[in-house]
Amino acid sequence: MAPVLTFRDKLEYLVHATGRAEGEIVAQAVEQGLTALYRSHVTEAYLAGEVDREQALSAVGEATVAELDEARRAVEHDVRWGLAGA
Amino acid sequence: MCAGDSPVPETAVTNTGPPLHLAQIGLEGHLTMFARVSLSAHIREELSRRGLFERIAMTLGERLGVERVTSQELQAQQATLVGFTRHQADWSVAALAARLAPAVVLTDDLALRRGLEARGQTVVGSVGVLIRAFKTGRCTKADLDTSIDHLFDGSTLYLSTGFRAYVRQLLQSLPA
Repeated sequence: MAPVLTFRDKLEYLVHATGRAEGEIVAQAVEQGLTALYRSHVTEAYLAGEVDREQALSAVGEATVAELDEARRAVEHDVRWGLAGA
Repeated sequence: MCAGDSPVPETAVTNTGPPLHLAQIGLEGHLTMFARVSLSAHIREELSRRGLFERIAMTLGERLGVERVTSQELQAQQATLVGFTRHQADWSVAALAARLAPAVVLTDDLALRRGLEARGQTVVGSVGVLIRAFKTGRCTKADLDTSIDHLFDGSTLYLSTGFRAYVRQLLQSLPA
């Protein structure tokens, strides 16, 4: 089984592989992680009706919101179809 | 978990997604709600590659039909589904739907769904099949809640985890 890499292992790898400063890599990781968390949270809040479409558009972009709208319509249709069965 | 056998007299043409995702949560038996489930040889190959075709075939028995789709049929679908999908397996599903005119096409692929709905086909995904199973008495409300959870957790179906809460919200008003 492959060994589980720690945060430190990954950071050291990136420092050696890219030649960039440790602080710079950590800052980028925090930025990317925060962006991913933010997008994930806004997505779920939009589906839950806690964030309106305009807010979602500015947070995650038109393509993602359009995909979510389409998936939501599909799920709603599935629910209607499922409940229509005798 | 879910039991019962009260087939709805509907026919279906299926893509890989619903049988795959239902089998991944152990509920491929729900497909027997359809009087007939047809799939193309392309989809059979996809299910076989995942080691699931025999299981699906055994579950569906005589309800299952595997149909060959001609290259002419595929070309025709390729032309009409431009902008929706570039996958030959998807074209084969659309070709079979055009040939057999089933009551419903089963797919969890949003792009194919959009393409088929644009031509007036009724399209349903795994979520719809699970809810229909509840509606037709194949499982209880508790079973349905569990299977929806498993669908989002235990299968390779891609939908944002936010949909789990959304579907649960839609189902909240249903009687237990």
